[in-house]
Amino acid sequence: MAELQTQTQAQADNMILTEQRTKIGTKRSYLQIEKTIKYDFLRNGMKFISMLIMSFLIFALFLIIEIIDESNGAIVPTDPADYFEGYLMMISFIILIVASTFGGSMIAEDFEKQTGNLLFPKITKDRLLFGRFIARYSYSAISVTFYYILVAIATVLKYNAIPKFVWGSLGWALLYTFALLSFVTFFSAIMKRSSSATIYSILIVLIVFQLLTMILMVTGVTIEPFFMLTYYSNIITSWFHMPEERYMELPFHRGPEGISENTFYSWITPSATGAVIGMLVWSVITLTIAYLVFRRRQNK
Amino acid sequence: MSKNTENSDVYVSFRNATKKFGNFAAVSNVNLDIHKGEILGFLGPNGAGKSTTMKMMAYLLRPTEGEVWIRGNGELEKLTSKNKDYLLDNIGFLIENPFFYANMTPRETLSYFGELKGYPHSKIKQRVEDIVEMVGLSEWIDKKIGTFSKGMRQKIGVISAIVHDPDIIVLDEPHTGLDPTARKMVREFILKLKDMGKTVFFSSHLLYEVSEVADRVAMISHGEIIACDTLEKLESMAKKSEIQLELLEIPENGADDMVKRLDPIIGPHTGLENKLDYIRFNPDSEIFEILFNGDPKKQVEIFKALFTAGIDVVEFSVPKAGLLEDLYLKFMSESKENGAEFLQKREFEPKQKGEITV
Repeated sequence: MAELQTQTQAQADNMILTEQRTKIGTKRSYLQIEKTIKYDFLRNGMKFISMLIMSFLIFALFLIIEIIDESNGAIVPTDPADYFEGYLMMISFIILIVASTFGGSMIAEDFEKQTGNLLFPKITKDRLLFGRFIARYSYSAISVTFYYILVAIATVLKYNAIPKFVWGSLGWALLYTFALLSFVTFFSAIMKRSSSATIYSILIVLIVFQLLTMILMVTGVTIEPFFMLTYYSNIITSWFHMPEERYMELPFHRGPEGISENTFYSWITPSATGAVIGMLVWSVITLTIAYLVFRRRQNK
Repeated sequence: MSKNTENSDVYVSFRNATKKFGNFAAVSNVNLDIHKGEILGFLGPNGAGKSTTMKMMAYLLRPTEGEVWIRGNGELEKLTSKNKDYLLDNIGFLIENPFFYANMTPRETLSYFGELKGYPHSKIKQRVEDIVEMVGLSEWIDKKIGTFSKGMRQKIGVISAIVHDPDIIVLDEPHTGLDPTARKMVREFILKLKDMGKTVFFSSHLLYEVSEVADRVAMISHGEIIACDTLEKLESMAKKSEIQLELLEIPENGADDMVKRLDPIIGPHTGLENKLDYIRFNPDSEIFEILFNGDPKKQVEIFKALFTAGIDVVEFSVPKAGLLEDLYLKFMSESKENGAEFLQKREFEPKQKGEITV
């Protein structure tokens, strides 16, 4: 009798709960994405703080160098835009570190640590990836913006003004962050380990793309290198002084007396339209492949 | 979309489900029905295919051949990528050793899991606290899971399967890494789930854990189901059961002489045709294990014969686990000896008799 009462009570409670439960459909999908974003924010909180510290340390490094240079009598730029641009020498590197830190574990981690066994039966992979990407891109974007804010503060303190091109440059930096995060996510989908995804992404960006750039310079190929992701990072700094001629020929002298003369050919920066289209194409292709691989990928 | 309205009490149905990794078949032609409100124990040694079967049900692995059918809105539906979200909504899974994000707390992780499955936001806090308390980890609810022992992680894994209060709970090796007290807790937990009207499908390689709680037992070996039914029916199929006998004292001249003395007393009452080694002595537990045909009348006859012969019996019992072990070893050896022929016989004969659901 008592058992029957327990069962009846449990069934009644269950019916009430079923009514209150968020039904499957669009509302549940949004809810799952929202919860994934919040959970991923919590999960990557320490990484985010680390990235903010890294941004601050790089800024501090530039500031110290600038102070030392000034005290040694170096010429101080009169245009605040030049001053600001000087701090952006390492912005591509900052974005690379941020994107690889947040993107490397995006997909690979759940297969490497088998956390997917608990998670995948509860949420579809498209929603999971979407939620995570939003969360991690937000952290990446804030980390990059934080660096810009630090440099902006330094510029205001020094010149009492902020160059108008800063906002455009920040926009390009954020778009490049998006493209690079997509690129790292692609590696996270195809690699077994998060660390491999992170390391391979960094190596390809720092070595393979640089090597390709050099080959193009030496061989004199005049095709604009839209196929190289790193090419788009040039617009972040070039935005302050967009050149009229984006293609450049550089005479180069080899040997002690400049006997062997050569000419290098280089594309300085993509156009604004080219940069938007190029980075979006890169993002769409890499993210789509990442998603398709993720969807097909099974736990062993 | 494929639908099937047969067997209204069947919640989940594996139909010739096969999973191959390259040329290796981890699971072959699994046919298994899980009925509403039952506890189905899935028994097999490590590497037998238990986890693979459960992963196919969770759609973590897609069957190479065959299908998994799950009851959705009153009808059995074939599990596909399109309907998995909806079909799996009412199922809670614990698959293999649970791994959690180390820098997160049980409160954060379980709340996330519960809300992913639509558990009301206003109630999730209380729900998480209640289920964490059930496994005695309330003090750890806000500690990082990375600092937990394997047993504690296992407990969190078990409750992660029920956080959204599903009707079907699938637990893959829930006893792994647990001490005896925690195992007892899991046993009671499974029985409590049944009392609440839940359906439980759990795997284990521990015979005792299965025998104590399962309504039915499915045995798997080398990726193939070798038997599936209630313990009683499996026992009658094997025509063999076991009595454990503890005597007041073992004679000084040893257990072998006692076995010889018991043979003429018990032998006529076992109901066994082949009486080879039917009395065994376990030196670790100092208990005599006597095989008989499982008929309760024979059990009484044996007890009376011992009493009449003046044997001082301290304990006389038919343990479920001991029986299950014998059955399991018997089916395993038969499956090895007879291969596919044995398996097919097990599949078809019982179906015709309406006894076995494999």
